[in-house]
Amino acid sequence: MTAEVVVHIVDDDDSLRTALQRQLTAAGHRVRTYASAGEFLLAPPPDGPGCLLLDLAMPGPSGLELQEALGRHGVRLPVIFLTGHGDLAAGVRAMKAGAVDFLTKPVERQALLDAIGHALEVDAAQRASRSADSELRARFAQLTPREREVLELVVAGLLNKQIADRLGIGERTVKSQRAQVMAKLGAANAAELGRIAAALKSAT
Amino acid sequence: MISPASWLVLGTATLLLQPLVAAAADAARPQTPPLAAESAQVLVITGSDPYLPAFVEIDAAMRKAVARQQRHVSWMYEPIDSLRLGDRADRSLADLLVRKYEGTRIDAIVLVTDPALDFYVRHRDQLWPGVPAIYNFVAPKFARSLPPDPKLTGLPAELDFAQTLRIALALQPAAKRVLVVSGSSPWDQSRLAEAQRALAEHPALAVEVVSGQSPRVVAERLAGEPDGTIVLFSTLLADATGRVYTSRDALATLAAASRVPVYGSFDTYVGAGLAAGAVESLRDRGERVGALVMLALDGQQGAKPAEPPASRCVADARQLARFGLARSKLPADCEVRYVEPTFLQRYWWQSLLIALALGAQSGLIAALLLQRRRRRAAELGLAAQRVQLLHASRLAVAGELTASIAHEINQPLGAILSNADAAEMLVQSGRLERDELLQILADIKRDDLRASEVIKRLRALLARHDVGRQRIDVHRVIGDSVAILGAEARRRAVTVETALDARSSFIFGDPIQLQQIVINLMINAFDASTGRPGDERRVLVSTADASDGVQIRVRDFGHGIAREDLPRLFDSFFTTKASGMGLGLSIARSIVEAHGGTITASNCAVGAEFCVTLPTAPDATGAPGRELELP
Repeated sequence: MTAEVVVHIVDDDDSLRTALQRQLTAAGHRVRTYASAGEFLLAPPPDGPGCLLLDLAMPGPSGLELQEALGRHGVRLPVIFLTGHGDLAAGVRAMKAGAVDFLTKPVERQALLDAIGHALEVDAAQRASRSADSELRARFAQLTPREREVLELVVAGLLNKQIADRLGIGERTVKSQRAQVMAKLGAANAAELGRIAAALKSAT
Repeated sequence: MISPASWLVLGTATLLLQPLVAAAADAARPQTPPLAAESAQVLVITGSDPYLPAFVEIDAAMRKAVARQQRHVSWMYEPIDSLRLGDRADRSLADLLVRKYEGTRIDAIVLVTDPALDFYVRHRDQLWPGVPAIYNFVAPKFARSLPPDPKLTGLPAELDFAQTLRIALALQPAAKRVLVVSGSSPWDQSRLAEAQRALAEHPALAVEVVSGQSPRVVAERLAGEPDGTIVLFSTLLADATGRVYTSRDALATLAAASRVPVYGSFDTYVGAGLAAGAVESLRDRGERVGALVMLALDGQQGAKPAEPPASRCVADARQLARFGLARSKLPADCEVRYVEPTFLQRYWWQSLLIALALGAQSGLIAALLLQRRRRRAAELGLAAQRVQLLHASRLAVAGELTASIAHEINQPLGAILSNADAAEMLVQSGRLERDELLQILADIKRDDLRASEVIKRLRALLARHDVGRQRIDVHRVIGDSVAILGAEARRRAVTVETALDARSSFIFGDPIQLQQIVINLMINAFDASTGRPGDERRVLVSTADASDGVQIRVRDFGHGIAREDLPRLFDSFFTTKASGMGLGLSIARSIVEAHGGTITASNCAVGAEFCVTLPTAPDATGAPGRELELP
């Protein structure tokens, strides 16, 4: 699955939007443009990699509001804010909400391309981490309920005998189920199992 | 103040003492005239016309003097009228009077002029033996010629020609000639003789006598008299033809025609045309005669003639002025009559009042002018300050708009940079197509114009401009204001809607000031919208026709205005904003009022609305309907 990398531009200013599109296209990017936050939300959600170039001040929902809305909708494209004026307070809010950059118009080519390059890297990294997480979750799904209980107690640091007592089963049964868990999750030893369990916890 | 009780005591005492007092009085008055307490009867015999002005005046004074003595007198009059009748009726008149006054008591007799005295002297034994008589206005010579008589006394009369001549010569020192005017009656002739005696003392003067001529003839004569002639008017009771005159009237006739001043020695002449003269007071004479009558009635008559009043210098200011005679040459004690009072003398208090009123008025006017000037200066200073304040407040607005203005300028600048950059990259990569390059260049030009448009608008807002009154379209001003605030609205995520429905939208005023009001109200509306949900961040600017002009409404959907703030909303330095100066609305109101309009604020169901009403300009272009005084 090698989807194209797309730079999404949301700006109500037709002229600037067109110019940015030209510039980024000339620089070799695939570009999609939207005249408002609403237009972006109504378009098919962008699954593929990319980033979002967002004008801070727009009529209707502002850039910041769109950023929040995207977060709620599970769209995790990195956001670069464009503003006509170095509005410090808005910049701080944007960065807190997870913006990767905050640029003041007019933007020099290199600054813009660097910001987009950085945003795309962030996106790629996020995507990679998200795909690792989903593999782990798939493995975890293969565990039986009893095996999940055993995993939990193993990670909590209990010995096999203690686990057997706690669950009311034989010590040998605990041993075989522990081996099953390690095999299914692909853990070579107990320490690795602990790391995998921590990653699972953060992914869910 | 004497109390009633005192009066009672006094009255009682008087009653008790009365017999004693009466007895004592009888003893003390052995020769009391029998008629002292009763009404006395006095007969006045006049030798000439009793109605001659002089005799009327003397008679009145005489009777007044007697009346003053609380004495009741019945006056009877007998004119002999010798002037007209001469001596012809003398005898028969005496007989007639004997019959006429038979049985009538006469207590005293007054004899006026020589003929009366003469008649009395000849007939007194037959008519009124033993009755005291007082003569008046009798030639001294005649009076002296009579034998002394204890029952006869009186006042001789002599016209003071000598003194009159001295006065005339004082006024006309260069005079060489005297013209004496006289009548031809015996009385006239005896006066003329007196005049000639006086003239004899001035041998240097040529004397001419005009006697017996009618006043009219004499008037003609005097009309042709050369300068330097002194006219001495004696008396003129009859002319040679026997025609009778009143001296006073005769003088009036000839003095009116005369080329030279006329002098005389008779009191009644003064005012009739006499220039000056030495005259005795007839009233004084009358009073003296009255006193003699009183003495006669009291039985205390003396035999010696009484002293006639002294003559005094009297002059007529009008005549002096008429002949150019200097008042300063008159004797110091001379009485100048008929001095025409000057306007100020005659109306002194009115004049004073008018002067005061004028003074007060002038002072008031001066004060008002001064006040006006000061106020004008203050107004000019104030106007200058207001212009500065308006400018400062526009700068403040611009300051508030910095973010959106920067955005608005940076937007096209950003587009230009990106377009140029794209073109550069396309050229470098060799992929550039001609049409695309042209499109890019066209876009760059358009954005450049856009940026300069923003700057132009901003300069108009910020420029320190001269107050300009012109016909302006409210709709256009609103359009400009909305454009200027477009970026700010976007920045604050406020939707601006307009509904410009007014059909007559032209006013006469200052476009920048009007824009300032609209921008101010809109920014206030933006402020009210801040922090509201998305659909309440709306500002509606609308216009409508009003009965008294055009209405501009700016409405928001925010929190509204606190009720207690409404009355103070337009006051200076009243603000509800954390960083506001509280000048925006007060400035807006001063601008609106200077344009002859009104501004009001009110709360709606949601939000607040400001309404500005301005008088519309007449439809014809130019010609303003009214003069505006802009701040």
